[in-house]
Amino acid sequence: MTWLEDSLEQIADDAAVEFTVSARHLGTGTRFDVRADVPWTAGSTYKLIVAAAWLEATAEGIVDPRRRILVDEHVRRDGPTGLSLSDDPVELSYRDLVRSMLIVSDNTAAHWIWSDLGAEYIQEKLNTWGADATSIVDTGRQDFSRRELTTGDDLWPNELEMFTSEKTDLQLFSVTSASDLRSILERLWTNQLATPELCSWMRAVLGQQLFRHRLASGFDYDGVEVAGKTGTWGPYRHEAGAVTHPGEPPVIISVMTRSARAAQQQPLAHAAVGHIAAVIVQAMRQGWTGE
Amino acid sequence: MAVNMTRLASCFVAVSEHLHFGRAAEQLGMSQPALSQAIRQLETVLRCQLFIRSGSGVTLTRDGETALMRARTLIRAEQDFVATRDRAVPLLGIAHEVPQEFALALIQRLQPVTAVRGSSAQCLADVRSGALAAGVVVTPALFTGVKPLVGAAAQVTLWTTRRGGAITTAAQLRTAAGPELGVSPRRWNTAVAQEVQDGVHRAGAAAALTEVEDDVAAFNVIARGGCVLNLGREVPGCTGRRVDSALLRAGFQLVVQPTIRDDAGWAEAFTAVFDHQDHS
Repeated sequence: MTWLEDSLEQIADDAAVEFTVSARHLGTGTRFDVRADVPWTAGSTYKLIVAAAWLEATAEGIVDPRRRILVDEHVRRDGPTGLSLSDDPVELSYRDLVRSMLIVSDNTAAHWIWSDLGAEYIQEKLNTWGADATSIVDTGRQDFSRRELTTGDDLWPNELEMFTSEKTDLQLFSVTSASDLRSILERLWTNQLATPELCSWMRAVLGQQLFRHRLASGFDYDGVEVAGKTGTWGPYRHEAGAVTHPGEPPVIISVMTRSARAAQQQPLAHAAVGHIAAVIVQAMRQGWTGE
Repeated sequence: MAVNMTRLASCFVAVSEHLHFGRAAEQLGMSQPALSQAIRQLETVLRCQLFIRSGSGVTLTRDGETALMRARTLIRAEQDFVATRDRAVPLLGIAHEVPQEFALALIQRLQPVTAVRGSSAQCLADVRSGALAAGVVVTPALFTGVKPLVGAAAQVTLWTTRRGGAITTAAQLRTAAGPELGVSPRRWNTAVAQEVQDGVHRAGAAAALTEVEDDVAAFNVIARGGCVLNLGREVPGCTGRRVDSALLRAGFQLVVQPTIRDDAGWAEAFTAVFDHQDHS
């Protein structure tokens, strides 16, 4: 184990979480992974993937970002933020719906966009991107395979019960890996998705994310930009994003954590995401090459 | 080619016992010339003469007598080594928080076993690395790299010099807690430490949390007018007040190495001890 991995394990132990991580310095190309290919429940990080697919669909002319969309009780889904909280019908543009999905993790927006793009279209994009560990599913729509999710035999017994229940939940049933999230973000930050203009738009939106308690908590000083998307479900606390210091190339990083505790409020787990990211990002900026 | 010293030692011991090459060769199931060659090879390796061969028979030299004792030790050591699997006693780690009577009852049921006390964190790390065969740890905990077999609820208990019954409400907990509360060290299990801290704050107890590792540290807190919170481990001279699991919850879990298929009755013993004993 390198000193870097050792430091990260200590941070995780202290917060009572286990973690997976994948990072790339876009300047030096240095890559750092710990258990990066292990598929875990995605939580709301699946929204990042839906947004990336939407970007491609926009570039392909399949969807119109300015289309007016009415969100009413027929399409509203449960959720603690955004349009899920609305009492009345709301009309907004398609791209603002995507913005709501990304900046406040709006479940209603995400489900609408996922349904509109279609699971097949998203899967096609995942195949193109080589995101093999990722699967965005809703048991209401798809034949759910338990075997698919037990890859690595890495689910808790109580999770298995939930996974095999009839509950329909994209956040629960979607799985991804730190490596896949990092790889998709890398495409976004190097303009390898859709068009450069659309990539630029989505990078800006990810920078508008409201939640600053995870990745951004590791970079609590002026002059650094942290853009990302969180994912939360049960014991999982994730965030994937980019950390950019002025005049330097960004570091793309995804940190996934799973806590030993079932509590909803887990400030130490949130902080661990930021702390783990900070140690890796600073090591990479300092010229760490894997020794 | 490497010299097989144990084989040579066996040849040497056989000749020493029979003081006759023919009978020794017969016992070893080898030819006499091969045995003679082996003894010559041994004498070359040891750079000394082991036997005096004369017309009347074979006798041991002084060097031979010394070598005989050592040869027997070498053969015995190899036999012990080969019997490792039969003689090994599994090592069981037991978390510090497990009450003494539970630990003793479990060890008794699991004989032969050698138990060691340690923190949950250490037990889990040691089971993961293979240094321990199994461990009884406190939950919540992460079971990465180990196999959780069976769990049981732990009885969170508040030890105090003041009398009182079971604690079932937040108000009772904050009243009972007093100014200082002795709790398990955070490094033993960080998840449990967080659970305890959250539970105490949720109940509205303003008590300062002091880490207590042993009875002396626990008594220091009691002597200062505080209380000690643990998982049923008795603090002598104090009254133990059970804390309802809705206020504070923890558990014990038996974990083993993932490669262990047949748990040799450990799960059964664990359940018998932890589910059917009255918590003090």
